[in-house]
Amino acid sequence: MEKRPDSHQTAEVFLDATEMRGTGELIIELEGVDKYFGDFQALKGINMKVARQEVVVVIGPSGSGKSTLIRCINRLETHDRGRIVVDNTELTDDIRRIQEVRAETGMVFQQFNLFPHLTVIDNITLGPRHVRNMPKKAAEDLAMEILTRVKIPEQAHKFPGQLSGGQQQRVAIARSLAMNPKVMLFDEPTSALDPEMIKEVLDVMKELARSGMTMLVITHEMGFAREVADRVVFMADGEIVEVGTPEHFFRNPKEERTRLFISQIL
Amino acid sequence: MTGRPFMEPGLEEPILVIDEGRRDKLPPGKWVRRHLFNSWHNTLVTVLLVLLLGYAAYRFGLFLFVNGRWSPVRRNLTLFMVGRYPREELWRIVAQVVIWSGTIGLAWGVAIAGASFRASQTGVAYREDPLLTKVRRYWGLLGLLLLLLLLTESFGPLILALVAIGVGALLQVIGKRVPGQYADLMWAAVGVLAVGGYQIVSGFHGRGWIWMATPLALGAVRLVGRIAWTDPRRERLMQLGVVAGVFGIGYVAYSMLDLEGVGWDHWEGLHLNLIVATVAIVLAFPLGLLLALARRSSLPALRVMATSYIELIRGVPLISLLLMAQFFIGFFLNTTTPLSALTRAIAAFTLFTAAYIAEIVRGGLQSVPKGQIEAGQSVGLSPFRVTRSIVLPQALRAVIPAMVGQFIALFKDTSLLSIIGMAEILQVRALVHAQAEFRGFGIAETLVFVMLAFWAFSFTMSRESQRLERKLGIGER
Ligand SMILES: Nc1ncnc2c1ncn2[C@@H]1O[C@H](COP(=O)(O)OP(=O)(O)OP(=O)(O)O)[C@@H](O)[C@H]1O
Ligand SMILES: [Mg+2]
Repeated sequence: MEKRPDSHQTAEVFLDATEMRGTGELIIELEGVDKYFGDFQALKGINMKVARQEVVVVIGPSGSGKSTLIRCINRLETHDRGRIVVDNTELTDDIRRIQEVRAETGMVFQQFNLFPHLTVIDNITLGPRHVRNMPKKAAEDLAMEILTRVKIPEQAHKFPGQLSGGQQQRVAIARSLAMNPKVMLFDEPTSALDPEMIKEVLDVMKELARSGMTMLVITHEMGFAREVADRVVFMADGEIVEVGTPEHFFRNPKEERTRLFISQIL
Repeated sequence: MTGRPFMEPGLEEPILVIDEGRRDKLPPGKWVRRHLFNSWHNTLVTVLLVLLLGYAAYRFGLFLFVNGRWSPVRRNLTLFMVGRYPREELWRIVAQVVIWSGTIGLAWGVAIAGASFRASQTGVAYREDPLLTKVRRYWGLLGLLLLLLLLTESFGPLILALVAIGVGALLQVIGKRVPGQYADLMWAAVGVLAVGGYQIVSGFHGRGWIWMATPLALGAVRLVGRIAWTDPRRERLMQLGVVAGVFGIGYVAYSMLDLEGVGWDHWEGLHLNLIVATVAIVLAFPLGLLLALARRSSLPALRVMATSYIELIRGVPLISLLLMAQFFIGFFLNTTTPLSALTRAIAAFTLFTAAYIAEIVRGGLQSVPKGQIEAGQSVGLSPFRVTRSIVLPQALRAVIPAMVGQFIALFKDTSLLSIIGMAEILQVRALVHAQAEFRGFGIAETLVFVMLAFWAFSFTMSRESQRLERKLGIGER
């Protein structure tokens, strides 16, 4: 694994360092990242840095490239130009290294993507057992512990199809947490949920943020952003338009496009 | 599969009811009135169909019980079952039937034990089907058995059937009682029994050890895998020792028996159809799976090879492949192959079916949503693990009916063995009518009998596939 010198001196961070929480040590770094789908450019020269223990919320209109951005971070999409470094490992074609990065990077999808043929506990233990080579018993103990943390230990032996949407999404979060990741990526985790289930998922995410997890969250839940985000990133047309604290965004955003977007979603 | 009716707005009755929901729980009288006589045109259709069916049943009954000349079947039952297999060696087949019945019983019992163990972990009580349900489930096969017993002229087959069922039932009970941690051991025993059942007929022929060694090797690989990756090692090592021991004992016991046997080139009758179909299914499934994966591989060479193979095979009739394997393969391989005629035939069946299985499995692979693969990747699973634990289980489940359909077609196609001069059951019928006393006598009856034999197995396979599909669909939406 390519180790890079500790990066907090090099942190010519592209926003005020005082806005960064925690150690200021970087865990995700994107430099000039471009991404094309055929002729269409989905990401245009993205520069972004996330420090350990930060919670960053990404907002922006549909099609602005939010999903593409975080899918590049665990290489579900490959970027075409620029550098992406996650936990001191640059993402290249080296599949082993990518597997290592993915193991350290949890991902929660809008559509949950639980494995329908496996019980909840098997969904959760699959990673620990086959990536971390954990014995079955230990993996199951770990899974139960995490299920308790997301408040559904009693669902352990059901199949995903037997759970409500909110419960499924909490299982998906548990599945990521079981790998003990250093970063968690969320792609609109509550968009597919009925209103009464959104809260239970957001509560789990808030608890996670409080416990010091580094999180990169795409969401339109502005209450969540206001409460736990250290920074908010606004994207439009494949570019990062504006970055700032939640207060900055809600009080007086600089850019006209940001203002328009905020006024639409509030 | 929830059986929720699709309601047309403004209609009282659902116009389309899926699966289970079709059987509404009404008392028979009411059900008949509601579904068969609810309007004048439905009544008309019902009456007409009942008349038609009644007439057909009447004619068929007449044929079966009154006019039918069943003596060609009755007098040649052994011939239909095993062909010209040496009669003084017939005890081997008797032993095979008993051993395989026991094998099935044991496997069934172990499977039930496993299912009830998993259910108990889930906190759900496992409910075994009552005997009556099982009898109903296999009525096709049981009916065939009953028919055979009615047709025989001696008590031998009856005794054999009773002993075989008894042994099967006994081993099923044993299988159910064995504690879960010995499941591997029990499966090893199932393997030994299955191979033993084969060996008792075929004899050793110098290569018999391969048959013993194959399941042993598979079991060993599996256990080594487990030791290396997951479970506490000592306990597993001991189990490995025990499994090896079981095979060793089976092997020694077998080699002390009569080693002569009758090679499978001399197997005939229904016995032959069943063996060929079983072996070809067992071989074609993994081959088809590999072909399907190869066709989706990221390596172009592999992809092109798999695709050309599949398209080539699917473009030619099965008979041509059988003939090719039998008579002309020497033109290409330029050697005198030592393979026996039956081995070549089985190879042809396997290669043919594998191509179709590959296409069926490919359809299943494509039906697995991309998000499933991404979810697997995002926890850091290797491509192999994603395929093995996430994609394949879902893909295969989705194609069970199509795949079993292919297997049924294969079983029925074993009748083509007659074309390359092998006395499978349809060809046995020709032998029967070559006998002086049955020349041109009862030719429809013998054909109906052969059809019935094919139908009983095909129907059972089809029903089992539906049941498997339902069972595996538990908890999915
Ligand atoms: N696999 C793909 N092939 C082609 N174009 C794609 C693909 N994935 C995304 N795009 C395009 O890239 C752009 C950005 O997509 P992305 O999914 O990242 O947007 P988003 O900001 O997440 O939008 P939403 O809020 O609707 O989820 C869109 O215009 C989309 O059409
Ligand atoms: Mg998106």
